[in-house]
Amino acid sequence: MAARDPYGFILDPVPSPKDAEFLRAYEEIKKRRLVKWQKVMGEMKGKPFIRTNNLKKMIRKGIPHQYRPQMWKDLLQYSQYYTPGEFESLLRHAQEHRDEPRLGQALRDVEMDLDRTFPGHPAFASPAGQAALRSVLTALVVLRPEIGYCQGMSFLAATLLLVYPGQPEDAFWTMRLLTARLPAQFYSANMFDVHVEVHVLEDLIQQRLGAIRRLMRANKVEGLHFAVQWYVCLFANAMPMETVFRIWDLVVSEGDKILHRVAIALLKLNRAELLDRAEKKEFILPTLLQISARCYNCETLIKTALGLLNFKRSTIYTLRAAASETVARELNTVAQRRTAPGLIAGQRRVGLRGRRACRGQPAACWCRGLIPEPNTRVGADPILSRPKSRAQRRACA
Amino acid sequence: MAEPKTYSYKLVLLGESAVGKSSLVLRFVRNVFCEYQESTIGAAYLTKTLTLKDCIVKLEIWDTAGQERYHSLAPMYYRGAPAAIVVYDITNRDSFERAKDWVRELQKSGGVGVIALAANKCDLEPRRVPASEAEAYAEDSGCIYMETSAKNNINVAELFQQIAIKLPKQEPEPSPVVILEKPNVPGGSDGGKKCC
Repeated sequence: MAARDPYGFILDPVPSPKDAEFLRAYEEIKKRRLVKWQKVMGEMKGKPFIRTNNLKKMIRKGIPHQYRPQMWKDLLQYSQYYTPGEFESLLRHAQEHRDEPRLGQALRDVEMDLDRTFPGHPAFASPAGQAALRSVLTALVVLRPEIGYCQGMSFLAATLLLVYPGQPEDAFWTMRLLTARLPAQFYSANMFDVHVEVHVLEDLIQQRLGAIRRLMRANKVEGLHFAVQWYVCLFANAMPMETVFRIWDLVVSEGDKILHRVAIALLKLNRAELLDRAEKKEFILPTLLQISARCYNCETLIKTALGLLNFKRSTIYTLRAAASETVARELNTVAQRRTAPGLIAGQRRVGLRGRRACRGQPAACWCRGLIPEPNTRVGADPILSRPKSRAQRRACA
Repeated sequence: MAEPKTYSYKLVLLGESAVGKSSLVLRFVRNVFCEYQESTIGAAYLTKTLTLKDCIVKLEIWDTAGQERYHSLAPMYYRGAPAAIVVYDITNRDSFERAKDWVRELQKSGGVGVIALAANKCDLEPRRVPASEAEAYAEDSGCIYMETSAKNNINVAELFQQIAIKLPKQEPEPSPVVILEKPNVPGGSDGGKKCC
């Protein structure tokens, strides 16, 4: 039988001897950290949640899995936004309106991916696991009809169901709050913001890992060739689960910028191998596609990611603004080439309207596209009442 | 005897979601089949070398994501690809219509010389796309047509083989091109201090 990690995933690829050694040592590290967490969680019990500096530091070293359900909820301000009954009413709506063409299509898309999401994992091979996955995704599709279902979302929902097993409602709410931390057009009809983020990554590689960018150019490799999966699934189906959870701890606690940090760190850690391949005149793409799956050493990855200096939010915003223009142009060209004109016009409008309206106003852009349209109470939507971060306020001013 | 020449080609798989693109590629490259193949996000890349009668053909295969909204990525994969396999599921009429759209788009783009239409899941019932109709369509549009089953390993190797034979054999390009200008450029700031 194939070896599995503590979360039930088959270790694929098989960890190298060095990684296996790390994984053994890591169990000990986790035990040590757990003691500290137990103390802090004991102190926090019964008090309102405050994200202290000490807590932030501890989160950067990984939340123990048994505390993840509570911590993620606290960090996502779950209790502030949770509305009892909304999940059920969304599911009822899906049940009653499944004949509507747009909703019907989205639900069929969801159905198609249920047995293709972590198929090797026992939790999702069972009918109960798939039913939970179905309900999380169905509720999200109904909540944001203009976004519908985007392939990749099932991996996010499944990852959350591993934290909230058998509790689709919790998984739904946390997914809703988590995706609100991503750029607004991430899962939209043309995935505008995924394109933007990957362009931003290319620029960051240019700034920080010039040699790799040159190799990419020489090999005609684009960021979109290897990084789409990283961003769309927040690494969920690209990396070993422990590493994924460590990254998500940070996304939940600090926001989406960490995705760029991780991507750059991943490339940086594999820089020597990429350059070596190039020296031997080999193609670098297979390596670029493999480096995430074998990233067992989450400690080094996170340390490297957080150790990148001068990684400012304002830089990301500037790069995003520039990339938006390029992406809009590119997607336009692609759309014009398409044969079905009606469809394209619709898609393009959704993508660009949001973007144009929000240039220079990240907070506004945050809301657009994620605001659930007619069927929810707008005032109560978490996304609308999200406080602007300091950096966002600066960017707006 | 002179060594047989090696030619490298890019080949892209296109088609509706869940018609079996990844399964076809995995059957061909690794001879494996999973009943539940994980959905492809973005695209996957695999290579396989075929030995033909008088030459060796190396296929660099791009297996793309099928969902409509990933469509905007497709040109990046088929641009510069001399061959494409458009896959549909014989038990799903819509996937055939979608396959026709793909063939049209590829022909419009002009770059892809060899297009194959793969009628996949031919082991399954009930069939919703008659073979005669698909075959006629393939003939009209100048595509290779083949009924395949990744599950039962029917016609998979044959499909790729036919494409390899049909590809024009020009002088092989030195591929891949790798230029290493400044190998010792420092990889940005490597500080231990945190900033955020």
